[in-house]
Amino acid sequence: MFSPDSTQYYLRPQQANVPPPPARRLRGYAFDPSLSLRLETAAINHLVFEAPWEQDLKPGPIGEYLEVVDYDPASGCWYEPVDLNDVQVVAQDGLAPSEGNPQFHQQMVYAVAMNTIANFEQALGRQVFWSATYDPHLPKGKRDTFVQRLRIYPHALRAANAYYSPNKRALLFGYFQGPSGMVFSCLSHDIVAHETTHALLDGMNRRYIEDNHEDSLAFHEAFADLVALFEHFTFPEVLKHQISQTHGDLHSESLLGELAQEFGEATGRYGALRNAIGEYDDADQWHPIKPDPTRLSREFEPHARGAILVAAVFGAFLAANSARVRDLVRLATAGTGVLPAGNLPPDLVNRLATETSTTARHFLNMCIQALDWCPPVDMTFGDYLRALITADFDMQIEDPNGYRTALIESFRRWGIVPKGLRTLSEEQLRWPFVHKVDHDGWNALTEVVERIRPRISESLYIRDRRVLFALLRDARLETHEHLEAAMSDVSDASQRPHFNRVTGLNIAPTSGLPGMIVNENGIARFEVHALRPALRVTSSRTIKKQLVMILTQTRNLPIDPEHPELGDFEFRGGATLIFDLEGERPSLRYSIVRPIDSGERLEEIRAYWKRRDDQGASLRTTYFGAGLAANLKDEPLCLLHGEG
Amino acid sequence: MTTARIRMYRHGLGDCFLVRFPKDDGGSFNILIDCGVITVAPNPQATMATVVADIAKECGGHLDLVIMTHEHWDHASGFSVDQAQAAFDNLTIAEVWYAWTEDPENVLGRKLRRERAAKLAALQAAAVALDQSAEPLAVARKERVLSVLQFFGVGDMTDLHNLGAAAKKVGKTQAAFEYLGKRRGVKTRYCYPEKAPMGLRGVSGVRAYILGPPQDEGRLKRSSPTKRGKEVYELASDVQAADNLAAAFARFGAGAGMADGGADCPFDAGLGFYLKHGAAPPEKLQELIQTTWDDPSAVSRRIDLDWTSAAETLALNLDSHTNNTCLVVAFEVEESRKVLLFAADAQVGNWLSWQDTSWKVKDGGSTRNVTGPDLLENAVFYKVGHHGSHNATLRALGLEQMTNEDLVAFVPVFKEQAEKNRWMNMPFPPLVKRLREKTGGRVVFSDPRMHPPTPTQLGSLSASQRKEFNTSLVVDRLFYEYSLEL
Repeated sequence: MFSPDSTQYYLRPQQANVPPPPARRLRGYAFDPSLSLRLETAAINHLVFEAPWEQDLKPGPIGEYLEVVDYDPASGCWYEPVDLNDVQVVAQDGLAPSEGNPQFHQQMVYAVAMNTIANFEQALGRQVFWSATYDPHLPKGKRDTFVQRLRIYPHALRAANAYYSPNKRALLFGYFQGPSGMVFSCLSHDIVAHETTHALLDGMNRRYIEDNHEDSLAFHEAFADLVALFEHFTFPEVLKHQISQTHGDLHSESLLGELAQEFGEATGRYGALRNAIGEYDDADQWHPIKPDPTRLSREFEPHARGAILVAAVFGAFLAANSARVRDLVRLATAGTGVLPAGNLPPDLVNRLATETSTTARHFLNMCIQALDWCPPVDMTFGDYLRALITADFDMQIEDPNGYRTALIESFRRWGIVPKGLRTLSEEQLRWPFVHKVDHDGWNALTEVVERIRPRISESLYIRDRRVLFALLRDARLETHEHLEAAMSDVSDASQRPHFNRVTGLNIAPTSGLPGMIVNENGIARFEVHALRPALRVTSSRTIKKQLVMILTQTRNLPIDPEHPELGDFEFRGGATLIFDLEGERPSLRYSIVRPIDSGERLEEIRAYWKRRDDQGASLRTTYFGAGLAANLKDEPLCLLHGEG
Repeated sequence: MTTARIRMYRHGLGDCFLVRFPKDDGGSFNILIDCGVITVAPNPQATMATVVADIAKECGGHLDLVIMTHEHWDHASGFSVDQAQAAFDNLTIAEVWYAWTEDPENVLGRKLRRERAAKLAALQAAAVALDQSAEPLAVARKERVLSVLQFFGVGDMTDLHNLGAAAKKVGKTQAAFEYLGKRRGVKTRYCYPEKAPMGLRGVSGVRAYILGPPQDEGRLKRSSPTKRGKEVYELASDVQAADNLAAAFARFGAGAGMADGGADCPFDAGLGFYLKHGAAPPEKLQELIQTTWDDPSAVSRRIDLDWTSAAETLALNLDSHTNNTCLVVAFEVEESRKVLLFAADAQVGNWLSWQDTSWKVKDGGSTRNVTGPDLLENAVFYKVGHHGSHNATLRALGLEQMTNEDLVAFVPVFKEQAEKNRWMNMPFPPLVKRLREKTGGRVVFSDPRMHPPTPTQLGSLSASQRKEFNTSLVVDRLFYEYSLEL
């Protein structure tokens, strides 16, 4: 894989007539080391990852995005860092896979994490950032500080756990004593891709880790698992082997499904997310689980609930892929579509594998891309479906391969229906274009974007992430000032209701909403959470220049006004605004709103918190009680992964 | 008609129940179920002496049966030499029951005990090591580990400074728990749910069913192995995982390198660099450390203590595994089929297994099938599990199946002592609420600050039910005694 945004590729003029290598080839495990011990999977378990080429990669590896720091505190020791630029190492596609060599472990986490980062950059059409640190001592507007590299500790824990720590901006991988030797979570492709995705998602929107809805943490888990899952299917080598293994019985749906589930099982706890894909009957035959639309109303534990989303997206992938390869099978069978017994011709195997890998890549792109079309806070599965459909529509107006139809059908079968929709047609599911009635409201907004347009345009040409970060931070400050000015302008008072409707905010001093934090100037505090300029290449080979702006606002409210002892929570609102930067003036295309003054949503979140209180969480709460809240804030994903 | 008397002692946070059935010859069959109090309780020795003196007096110096549900201090401390063992020495005791997990002949039982010992050792090592750090996180973790070690008799901070002393304390729990098993002249029985229910000598028409613990490692550990047996990581190597953790904590506490050869470490010893001992790292490593770990602006990104959360996980895991090995007994009266259920501290896996148990029993001339759910359905007395914590009374496949209209629940809990130990939500309010609904308010707490059920709480009962309950309940500072027409 090659990221077109790899900074170093651009910064370094070609020194000789030889262009820089298209990718850094690194050997690794396709799944995890345990599969090398089984005869039927050993052959496919080694593959060569193609990470973006980083010329100046330091021992660690330490590159543009990652720093692998191999300290093992439980053993009290350091391991020497691998130097991937060592000529001996470069010349043989990196170190050979080995469980007993810590340097290979460093190489493996680097390769998989870089692969995942490259997939994100490709899908999003921009460079990714890690979650910024916040320093309250710096002047206003400069408090977010750039974190260049995600830190990866391959041997941080002595436990069957691995997690992303939002505070440390680090991935912590554990190792533990298994029945036949040490098991290293950092050697599992699934786990590394999953944890890297958590970090990337947190870098895009810190609010998605907040647990305000049954779907919040479940979404985080399911999304990370989907990325790991589809990444597997983008490797044609793996697919080829499995397709040829089936000896002509190409019931490809169950084949791929079974494969997906096996990957999950091999890595333990991630299996839970894949259990919804299929099951084994008494005769030990695998078959896909029939979608059950009532299951969503029964599962509340994040992994069990996340499994439903995984199953829904994966089901759509299977259906779409099977439609896509049907013609190949007909071609190979003189039109009958019935494959003869015996081995498949290698050509057919190759073509099937290539097609499937293409479908997988498309789904992977769709899943990641959709993040830009998600609401700013309190995301539900239904919102994600709408984001998937809208994003894909924007990239490709027609749906020639039926991907969107497959998604809608699969989600419907699993009972994932966005709230308030009458039908599940594509037009209904797409976020609506900003309504004409709110013309004045969005006029004010496009005005603001018009003003920051020079900076945004400039940003499209910047390759240095640190410079880009500073520029976008300044642009956020500027946006904030313009918005504030626009809203405190008394002459514009008539515009306010429109503005509120489009942005989901309410910054009027007279809003009277309880729990609102009001600044000294009498205006309610709000935040320009993110500005994301993106260049996207559509299916018709045109380049789309878009700007994603996320505005949020916070109210501190008691969970239950009648029982203040239950504590407070942060109720947030705002909007994800998507602007087209084409043409004379920028235009607001979508406004995905979570109104800060929505009483209905407030009651839903309160009910959710109370329900959780009634269920009493875990044994941990009973024994370690008081410290729990602090602990959850520190490492929300540690507990979710460790005891989930 | 048979009248059983159940006495719940109000001595502190811990279980001690005296159950008496009338013998055919007019005497009473005396059963003691557990006898212990948590370490934070004041004056434990005097308290337990009072309790055991009362037992001796009530039973005329003779116990027909003692049931030792599980090896936790708050259920067994009374048998310790530190507390009231001398008083027990003066009682005649006919028989003691343990769960099959204590059976020296049982392979799985031996394995579980070995694991328990390894985990305890690791936890003690963790507490000792964490005690040497002043980092708030280390302090918090140490306290959490300690709060679970309470169950094994490690109470005060001074125990921590000396591993030998702590080990002795833990040994004391074991010694107290095993006291009767080793005592000469006391018959020991290891109870299996698979075996036929047992009669009580000299009492006709009462049977004791063993509901749990299940002989099923997956259930005991609350994780269900997958159908194809692919995922067996957690089940297979608990002992070694705990040993490895213990070694890590020992090293951490001592600030030592690999004097022990690092057998617990993931890589060959030659591959690691132990910099605390002044060894110079190779150049590339030195550079890496300077630019990352030593970066003054990134100190908060270090991970010195993150791994120690393993001690908390292990503590919880040890506790729930031990609680799942609780001996759960149901006494059934043949004629009325009414059931007294003593759930000890059983947790989810143990409760779930009752759903699958069944026995064939002979009633008069005919044979009938009795299942776990039958026993729940006929329960008229429920000793609430684990001091009323949320996870020791299963809902749908437990409490909701107890549908007898005469159901009464006894909860041995001292809120103040639980909180002193930083255990929150004991008793768990939603459980209390549901218990009150299920029993028509007939829920009795040993806690001295909680009153016996008030007339308002009993409001949903009929006048005769209310009267019957009130006349059947004896309220004393030392105990509650409930008489049950069976």
